Amino acid sequence: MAACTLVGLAASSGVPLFVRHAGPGKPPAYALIGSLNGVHVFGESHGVTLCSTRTKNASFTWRTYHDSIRLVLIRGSEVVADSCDSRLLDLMFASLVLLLGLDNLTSGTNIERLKRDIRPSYLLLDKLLSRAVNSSDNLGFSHLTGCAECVIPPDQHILQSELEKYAEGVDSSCACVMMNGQVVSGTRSFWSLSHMELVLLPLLVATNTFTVARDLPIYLPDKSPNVPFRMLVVKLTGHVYAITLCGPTPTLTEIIRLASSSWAPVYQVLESITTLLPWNIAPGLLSQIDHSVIGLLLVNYDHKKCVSCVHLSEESRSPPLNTAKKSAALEAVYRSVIGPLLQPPAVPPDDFPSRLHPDHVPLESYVSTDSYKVYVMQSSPYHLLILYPPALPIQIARKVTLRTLAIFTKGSMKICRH
Amino acid sequence: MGSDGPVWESKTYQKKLLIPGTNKRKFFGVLEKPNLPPSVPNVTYKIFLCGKTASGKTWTMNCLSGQEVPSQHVETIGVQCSHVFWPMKIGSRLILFRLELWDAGEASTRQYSHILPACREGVDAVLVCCSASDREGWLDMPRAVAEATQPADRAAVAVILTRWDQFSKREVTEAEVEAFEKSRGVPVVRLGGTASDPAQEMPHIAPTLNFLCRRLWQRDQELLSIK
Ligand SMILES: Nc1nc2c(ncn2[C@@H]2O[C@H](COP(=O)(O)OP(=O)(O)OP(=O)(O)O)[C@@H](O)[C@H]2O)c(=O)[nH]1
Ligand SMILES: [Mg+2]
Repeated sequence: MAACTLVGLAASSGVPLFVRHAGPGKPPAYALIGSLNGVHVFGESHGVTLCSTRTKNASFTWRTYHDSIRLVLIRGSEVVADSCDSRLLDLMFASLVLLLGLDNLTSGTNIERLKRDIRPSYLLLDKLLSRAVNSSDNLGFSHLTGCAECVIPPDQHILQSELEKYAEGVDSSCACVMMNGQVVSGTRSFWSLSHMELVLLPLLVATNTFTVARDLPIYLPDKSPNVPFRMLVVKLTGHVYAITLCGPTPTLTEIIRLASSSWAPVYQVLESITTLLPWNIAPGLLSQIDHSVIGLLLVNYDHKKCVSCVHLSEESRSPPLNTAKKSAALEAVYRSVIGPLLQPPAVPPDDFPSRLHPDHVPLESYVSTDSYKVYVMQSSPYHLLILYPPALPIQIARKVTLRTLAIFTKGSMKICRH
Repeated sequence: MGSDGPVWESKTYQKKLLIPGTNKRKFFGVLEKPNLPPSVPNVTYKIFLCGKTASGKTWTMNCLSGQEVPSQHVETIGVQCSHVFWPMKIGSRLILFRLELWDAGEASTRQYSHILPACREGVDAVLVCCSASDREGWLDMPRAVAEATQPADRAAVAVILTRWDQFSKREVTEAEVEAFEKSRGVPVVRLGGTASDPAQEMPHIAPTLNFLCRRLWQRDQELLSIK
């Protein structure tokens, strides 16, 4: 596990606002942080924007937002800074906007106050950092894919209609049901939230698991960066939450009462979703997946959803990978293939050498290592990454990947249904 | 305590609060409650934790609900509410208490005007939190207690003195606490520290929960007799 540090600075003065660190070791000393800002400022004064660089044992990414907040991401040696890191910084900045509001964050003249106001965001920043270092207690891919982490429940329509009734009852159009930080079902207006919002809201819900209800004042980084909403979170069962975005009403007490009365009749349905853990995929689909598949990640960019599963059994012949390793493998392949080679949704990247291959649009790719194989398939609007044991012949991996894509995209339980 | 009947019976039921085979407390959603015989009456109370930032409101809430306590101060965002179930014998009757604890971050409370009224609405008890290492906070306690409730609430009031375990940093003496309790008639609960053995989490916090439940029960009796 590589270390990862996030530094926030006031862009104009270079005053450090916060430092967060995940993984082994300690965060860099203040002197070093000062010089990290220094090199960026030096570049600026010569008309150059420093985006990223690499030293012998670390990589650095800089981003400045609204001329007022500068974020620097420092990674240990294992991963090269890439477009994923700039996107991670965008998410981190959006986390600050989510809890502070854009104007409050960027027009701050009082640095001490800003430092204090930023502190509650540490929860979200730390979640994102722990994703960045692949810590095993916070697995997931939403920060990479920019899509909401989802589960595919077996009886989607029952939940969906209950959710819509509930949302109407509490006078909110934007509502969803979540389980363990993953979206089970959402209203149309929920799915119209931006990519970043769909990544961050579930993470925020997952920052606290033991309270039964919360009333969180939040801003929507893209849709409403300066006017706060109330995010009302009610825990229905041990794992399942109902979330609504509301204005001034109803009160938290009312929402708890409404949630209790609306969801009680479907308690059994809520309990049955829990049996999807830890696979995230309805048993009807799961049973169709080939035994050689030991992990998968499916993204639907049109619907801003991704589903992952790293709890699939493995052939006894090869040494088993634990879930954290499987997750790390899928992440590494996503970072190296999606972006540089395949782009969502199914267009080659801008800098793809099209002059060399005028008619060549990459659709498939694979990565093979000593401990795993990953086959990547693109079929707009999907990306499917499947993890296999290393010994599986590649042509079989390809066939199984094609078949798996068909399982998810054809038939009644498509991931694209809202 | 002796008048509360056989303690072991409450204890047997307190086991129902745990995830079977572990010492960890179960998470209950709003649709759920511990599995006790249907004949056991349920009572619900709303308790509001108030106090300055870093006074230990969230710490207290986590402690009472048997969750990991925060090792560093992180301002609470908005309002959070947790349900603590506590089966307990009052006289000869077993009763399932559901304490609805309300905790709001001080920064959010100042920023958003809907938060404080939401927390105060219909409270049965207010717990005024104060850190035992905060001398100023302690000196301000008479005012804080007076402001904590409105007379119409008839809410029970108690002071929670957190960080009582951090002996070397204590800025409040035992004698001062006793004098305060006597002169104001407001009980002070000394909190701090967690059970060193996770198996002892519930026995560790039980006296505080017993105290709160008994106090709320008493208040009900008093209110009934007034009517
Ligand atoms: N050891 C010990 N530490 C405590 C105790 N009470 C509070 N603390 C420490 O003080 C910190 C701040 O307490 P919180 O409970 O987070 O503060 P709060 O009152 O909720 O503050 P806001 O949410 O900002 O309003 C905690 O994270 C603990 O580190 C206690 O009784 N014992
Ligand atoms: Mg708090």
